[in-house]
Amino acid sequence: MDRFAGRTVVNMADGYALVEERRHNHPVVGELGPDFELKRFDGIGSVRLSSYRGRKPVVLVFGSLT
Amino acid sequence: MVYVREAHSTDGWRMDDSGWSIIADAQNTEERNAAAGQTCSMLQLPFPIVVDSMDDLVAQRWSAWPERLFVVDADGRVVYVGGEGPWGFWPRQQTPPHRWNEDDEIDHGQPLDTFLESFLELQHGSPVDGPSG
Repeated sequence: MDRFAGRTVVNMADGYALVEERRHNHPVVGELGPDFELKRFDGIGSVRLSSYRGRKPVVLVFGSLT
Repeated sequence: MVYVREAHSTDGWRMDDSGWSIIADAQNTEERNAAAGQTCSMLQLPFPIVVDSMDDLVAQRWSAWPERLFVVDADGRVVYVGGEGPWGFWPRQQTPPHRWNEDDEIDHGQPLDTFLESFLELQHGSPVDGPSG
């Protein structure tokens, strides 16, 4: 867990430092995508990424409103 | 969609000129769920949205903050890694990503739709879906 975990990004320096710190930590092509299970925002169950294995590809969009 | 920590919250790195600094950063799961719901409603998103934990674990593991695109094939393997947002967030070829300035030399990567076109051809037309819960 890095130093930005769990806290608001307060300014540009924070934002750029966060991106720089994680720049080389992303999954690479060919690697098994790190599994996760997260709940839907509407409370209708949860989703586990690995549940799609053997079924279909998945497009992951990470983001927020702002 | 995986909803992550706000990039430009009103109480954080606010960017009024973007027009999108309109909510505060969530302080708990309920607030983040509400933000995700507002996003779904405002943007009319057609796919399910899951919410990252408040310690941002999934976004960290995927290096996905503030925004990023990936494609995982049916074997669970990563086949597309989008560039770091915002400069590398490029879902459609027709809408190039944000540029720092006119002369920036940032590698914006390949647009997602271009990648999917060839990927789906190889997959013989297999459907691609987001998390369906």
